[in-house]
Amino acid sequence: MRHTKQAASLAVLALALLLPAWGMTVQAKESASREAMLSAGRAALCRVHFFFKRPADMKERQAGMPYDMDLFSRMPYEELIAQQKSLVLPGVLLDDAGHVLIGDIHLEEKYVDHIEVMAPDGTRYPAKLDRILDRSTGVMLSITEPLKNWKAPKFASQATIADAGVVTLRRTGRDWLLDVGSAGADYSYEAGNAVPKRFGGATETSMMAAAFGMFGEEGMAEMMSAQHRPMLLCNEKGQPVGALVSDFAIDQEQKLGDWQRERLLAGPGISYADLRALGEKCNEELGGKAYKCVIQYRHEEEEGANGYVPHYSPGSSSEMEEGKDRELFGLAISPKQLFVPQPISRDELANIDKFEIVVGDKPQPAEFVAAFQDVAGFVVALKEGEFPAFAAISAGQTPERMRLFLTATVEEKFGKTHFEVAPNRWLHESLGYKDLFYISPTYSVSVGGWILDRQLNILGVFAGQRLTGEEIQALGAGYRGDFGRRLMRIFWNSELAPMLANPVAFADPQIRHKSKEDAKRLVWLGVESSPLTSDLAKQLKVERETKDGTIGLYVNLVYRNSPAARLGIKEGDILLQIETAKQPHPIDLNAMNIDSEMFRFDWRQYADYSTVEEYGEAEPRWPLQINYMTMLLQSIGEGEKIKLTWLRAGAKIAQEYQIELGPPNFLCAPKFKNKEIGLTVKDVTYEVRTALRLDDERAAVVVAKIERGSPAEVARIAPFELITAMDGAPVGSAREFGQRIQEAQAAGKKSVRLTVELLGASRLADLDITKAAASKENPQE
Amino acid sequence: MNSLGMSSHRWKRVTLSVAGVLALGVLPARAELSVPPDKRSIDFEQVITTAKEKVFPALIFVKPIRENYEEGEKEREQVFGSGVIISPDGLAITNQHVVDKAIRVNCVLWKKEQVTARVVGEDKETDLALIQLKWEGGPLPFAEFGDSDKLTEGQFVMALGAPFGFTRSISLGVISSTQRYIGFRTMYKYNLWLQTDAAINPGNSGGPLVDTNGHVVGINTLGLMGVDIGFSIPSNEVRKVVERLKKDGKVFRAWTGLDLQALKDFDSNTFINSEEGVLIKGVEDDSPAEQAGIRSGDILLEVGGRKVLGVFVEQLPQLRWDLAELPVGKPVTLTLRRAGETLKVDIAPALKEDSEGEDFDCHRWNMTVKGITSHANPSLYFYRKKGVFIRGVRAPGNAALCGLMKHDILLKVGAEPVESIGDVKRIYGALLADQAREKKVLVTVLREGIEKLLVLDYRTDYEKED
Repeated sequence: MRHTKQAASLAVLALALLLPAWGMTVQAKESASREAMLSAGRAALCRVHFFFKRPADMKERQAGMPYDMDLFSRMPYEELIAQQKSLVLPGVLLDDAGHVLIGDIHLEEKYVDHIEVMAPDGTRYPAKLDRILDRSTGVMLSITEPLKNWKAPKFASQATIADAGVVTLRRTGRDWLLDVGSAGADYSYEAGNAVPKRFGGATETSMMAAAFGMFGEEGMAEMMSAQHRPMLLCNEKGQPVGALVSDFAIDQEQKLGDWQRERLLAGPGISYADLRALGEKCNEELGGKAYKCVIQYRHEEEEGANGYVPHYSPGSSSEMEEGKDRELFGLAISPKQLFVPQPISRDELANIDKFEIVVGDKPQPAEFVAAFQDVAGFVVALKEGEFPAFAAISAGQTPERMRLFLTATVEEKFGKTHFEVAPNRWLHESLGYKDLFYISPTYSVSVGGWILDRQLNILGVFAGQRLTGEEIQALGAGYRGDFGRRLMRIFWNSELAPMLANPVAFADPQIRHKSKEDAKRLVWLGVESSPLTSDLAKQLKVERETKDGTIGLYVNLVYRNSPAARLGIKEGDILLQIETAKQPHPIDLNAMNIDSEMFRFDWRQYADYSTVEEYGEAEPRWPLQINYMTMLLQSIGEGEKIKLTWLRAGAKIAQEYQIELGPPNFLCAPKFKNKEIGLTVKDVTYEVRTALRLDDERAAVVVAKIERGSPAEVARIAPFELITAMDGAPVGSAREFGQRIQEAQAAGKKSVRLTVELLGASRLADLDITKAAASKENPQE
Repeated sequence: MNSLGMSSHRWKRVTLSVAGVLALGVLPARAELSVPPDKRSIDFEQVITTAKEKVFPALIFVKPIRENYEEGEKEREQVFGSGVIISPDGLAITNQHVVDKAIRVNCVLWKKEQVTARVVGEDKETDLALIQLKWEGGPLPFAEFGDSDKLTEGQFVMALGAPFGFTRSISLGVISSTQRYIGFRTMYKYNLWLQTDAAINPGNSGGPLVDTNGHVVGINTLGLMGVDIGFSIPSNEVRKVVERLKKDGKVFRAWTGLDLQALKDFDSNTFINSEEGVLIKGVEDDSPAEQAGIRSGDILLEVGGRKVLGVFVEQLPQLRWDLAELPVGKPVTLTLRRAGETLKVDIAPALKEDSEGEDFDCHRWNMTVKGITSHANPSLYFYRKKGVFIRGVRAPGNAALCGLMKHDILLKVGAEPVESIGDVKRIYGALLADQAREKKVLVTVLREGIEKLLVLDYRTDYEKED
C-alpha cells in the first residue's frame, strides 16, 4: 500500500516538473517552425516584374461600343502602358533551374515586352513565360540565366500534410512584407471528416488585403494580382513542400489540383507557343464557319422616330436608335442556318427590315428563323444557296474543374472574320436562375464567346440566360431592363445541340419577324382607363382592394367587340391584377410608375414632329393606344392565357382570357400616302370612331399628315380632320380614297372636291391632283 | 397696373395670319365707277378743324367696370374704350366688347364731365352696343353718320378715341379697303369692314372713324398690334344695328343652320362652276336646314323666290344678314341645285339663341363654368348639347391642383348630373352649405370624348387671410 502512494506522489511530482517543460517545448516547436518558414520564404519568394508594350494589332476603342463584359475586368493594359508602369507580382522559386510559379492573372502574352525576376538579394534575372498550368491556377516562368547566389529552399517530399502553413509576399508602398500563417482548412460539412478536405485558399491577411485594397493607390492590376497570389506551402515543421495559389483550395489527394513541388514542376499545361498555334489552327478550322450577319432597320418617315417601339423598350441597340445597320457574328450550324449568340428582343425585331449574311464578301439575303426561349440568341437562314462550311455542334464533355479550356470570340480583324482565342478555366459554380447551378468561367468572356476544348472541339457558348417574364418585370418595375444581359453563363452542348438541331421547336413564340404593318399591331383588352389615386380610392370606398389607391385602373370606356366587352367589363369597373404563368406573383396593375420620361405614353413620341411644329401642338383628339395596359399585355405575349381580376361594387370578378391581337389603330391603320399631293389619309379605326362619335354607317377617312407647301395645305386641310366624301360620293377607306384619286387622274381631272369635316362642321375643299406621279401611289405602303 | 394707373384696356386683338389676310385679295367688281374724291385741295389743318368742330364734342371716353370669368374666378376689372354720342338726349354707340359683361359704365364727356351710362342694347355678332348717358343738363352735342357706301380706298379719314387711355386723340390715315371680309378667322360674319391705316390701338374701340366732312363713317373696332392695320364697322351697318338695338335691345336673328361658302373661295382654293347662287358648305347639327334635308354641296339659288348670289366671299355677309331677317317660324321655300337637279325645299327658320352661355364662378373651387352653346362653343356642343364646361381654372387653386382643366365638360358632381348652369349653382350651393361633409367631391368630366373621374379637394380656402 505504501508503494502505491509513493508511486502516485512521484508521478505527480514528475508531472509537475514536466508540465511546464512540455508547454515550453510546444512554444519552442512553434517558433522553430515559424523560423523555418520565414527562412524558406525568404529563399523561395521573389518578385516578378512585367514590362508591357503596345501590341501591333491593338485597336483604338471606339465611342459607343456596345456593352461588353470583356472591357470591365480586363487587365488595364492601356493604363499600364500609358503610365509606363511595370506590374510586379510575387512568385515562388521552385528549383535551382529557375522555375518560378506566379498566379494566373490571365496575362495576354502579346502585351508583355520583357520579364525580370528579382531575387531576394536584388539581382535581376531575365525570364520568359513557360506555360499556363492545367492543375493549378498558376503560370510557370523560366529564368533564362543561371542563378547566382540564389538557391531554392530544400523542399520536403510528403504525400499529406496535417498542419499546413503558408508564406506569402506582399507589398505596401515600397516595403515588401512576408506573411506567415496557417493555410486554412476546409472540412466537409456533410461527411463530418476530422481530416481537412481541402486546404489552401486565401490566408486571412491576404484576404483582408484584397478586400480592403491595402495597396494604397495601386490600381486594378494590383487588386487582381492580390486575388491570385502564389504561396509557399510548408508542413508542420516549417519545411516547404510545394506551392498554392491563393484563390482556390486544393485537396490533399491532389485530385483537383497539384500542391507538391514535383508535380507542379512536371505539371501539364499549355505553353504560350502552343496557345498561339492553337489560335491559328482555330482560325483555319473554325474561321471559315463564322459569318457576319448584317441587320438593317426599318426607316419610318412619318409617325415619329420609332413608330413601332415605345421608347422604354428594353434591348434596343444604339444602332437601332440611330438607324444604322448593326453587324453581329454567328456560327453556321447547318448548310443554311447561322446561329448568332446575341440577344434580340421582340421590339428590336419589330424594327428590323431585313437580315443579310456576308458569305465570301458578298451580302446574301437571309431570313429570321427563331429566337430561343432559354438562351439569348437567334438563328437566321440563307434564303438561297448554302454556306461553304459549317460547324457541327454535337455532344461534348464539360471540362473538369480547374482544367484549362479555350474561349474563342469572333470579331472582325483586318477586314476578315477572326477568332480570338484565349485560355480559361472554371473554379466555381453559382446558384442562379430557377435554383440551378451554373458554371462561371474564371476569366471574363465576351457575350457570344465559344467554349472549345484543346482539340478545338466546340463544347458550348457563353451567352445570356433568358429569364421568363423579364420584359414584364421591366415594365412593372419601371426601368429599362437589359434584355438578355442580366445573367450570363456557359451553355454546354448538351443544352445547345438539341436547340440548334431544331430551332423552331425551341423558339420563343413571341419573338417573330413580322411584316412592317403587322409589327405595328398591338394586342388589346379594349378599354380606356386611368390610374386610381388615393383620393379617388377613398371616394369610391375601395381603399382595401386598391391598396389605398396605389393599384387599380378605373375603366372610363369599353370598346365594342373587344375582349373587355366579351368579358363583361363595364365602365366604372376597376381593373386590379393580372395573373400569368410567366410571373410567380400576380401583377398588380399600377400605371403610376409611368411617370418617368421613359414611360410617358403620349402623342409627342409618336406624332410627326414636323406636324407639331407647323400646326402648333396639334394632337389627335383620340387617345393613344400605346399605353400601360397594352404594353403590359404585349410583354406577356399574344396568345398567352391570363387571369384578369377587376372590382365592381365591392366585389371582385376574375376571368381568364387569351391575349389577342387588336384591330388596327391610328398608328398602324391602312393608309394612302401621296407626297406630291401632300396628303396621308388612313382608315378610321375603332378609337378614332369612338372618340369622334362617328356612327358605324358613316364613311370617312382621317387625315394623318399634310406636307408643307403642298396642294393639300393650300386647300386648307388640316391633320386629324375627317374626309367624308370625294366629289359628293362618300369615301370609306384609305384604299378607296387612293383608287378614286388614281381614277380621277386617269380621267384627266385636275382636282377633286373633298368634303372635310371637323367635329360636326363640314366644308368643301378642292384638292389639286395634277402634280401626283402615278409611280408613287401605293395604298398599302 | 400700368404707369398711368389704369388697370387694363379693352381692345380687340385679332391675330389674323398674314397669309389669311393676303388671301382675301379679290375685290368684286363694283356696280358703279369709283367716285373721285372731292376735287378741292386737301388742307390738313382744315380737315382736322372740321373734325374737331363736328365730332369732337360728341366723343366720349367709356370706362366700364366688367366682370371677367376667364381666369378661373369672377374678377372685376376696369377697362376703357371710346364711344360717340348720336342723339342729343344722350344715346351713344360703342363696341359690344367694351361694355361686355359690364356692371357699371362711366363715361367722360368732351366737356370733362363724368356721367354714368346704362347699356340699352348690344349685339355680339356685329360688336356694337348702344348706351344711354345719364345726363340732365340739356341737349348734348352729337355726331352725324355719313354714307359708308360712298367711301373709296385712299380717302382720308380720322380715328378719334382714347388709344391707351390718352383721351381725345386723333389719328389720321386713309381707307385701305372698303370691303374687307374677316370672317374666316373671326366670328364676324354679318358685315364687311373698313380697313384703315389710321392708328387704331387699344382704347380706340367704339370710337368714330370720321371722313373729311366730319361725318362718322365707321366705328373703330379691331386692329393688328403694332402695324398700321385697323378695322372699322361701316356706318351703314352701324345704323342698321342701332335701329334694332333701340327697338329691341338686341338683334333678333333667324337661324337656318346653313353654312355658306363663296362659289369662288380663294381661301381654300375651291371654285364652283356656277354663275348663280351660293355654295352651302355645311349644315349645322339639329338645325332647320338639316331637318329639311339640305346637304353639304348643295347650291342655294333662291330664297322665297328671290335670287341669291354669293360668288365672292365679300357677298356673303349680306346674304347671311338677309337669311337672318327671315321671319321666325314661317316656312319659306328654298330653291337648290344638287348634282345638276333643281329642287325646292321648305324650311322654317328658328330663332337664333343667345350666342354665349351664362357664366358662374364656383369661387371656393377656384374655377368658373359656362353654359355650352352651339354658336359660341361648337366643338364642345358636338360632344354635349345641354351642358356646362369649365371656362377657367385659377392657378394656384383647388380645381387646377386636382387636375381639372379648361374646356372640360362637367358631367357629374358627386352623384348629380350636370346639364345647365342652374344645376351647377344648386349643387355648388348645397355642397358648401353642408358644413359637416368632407370637403372633397367626385367629379366626372368629359375630355376629348373620354370620361374621366377626378376628386375635387377644396379643403384649402384661397381667400382666407392669415
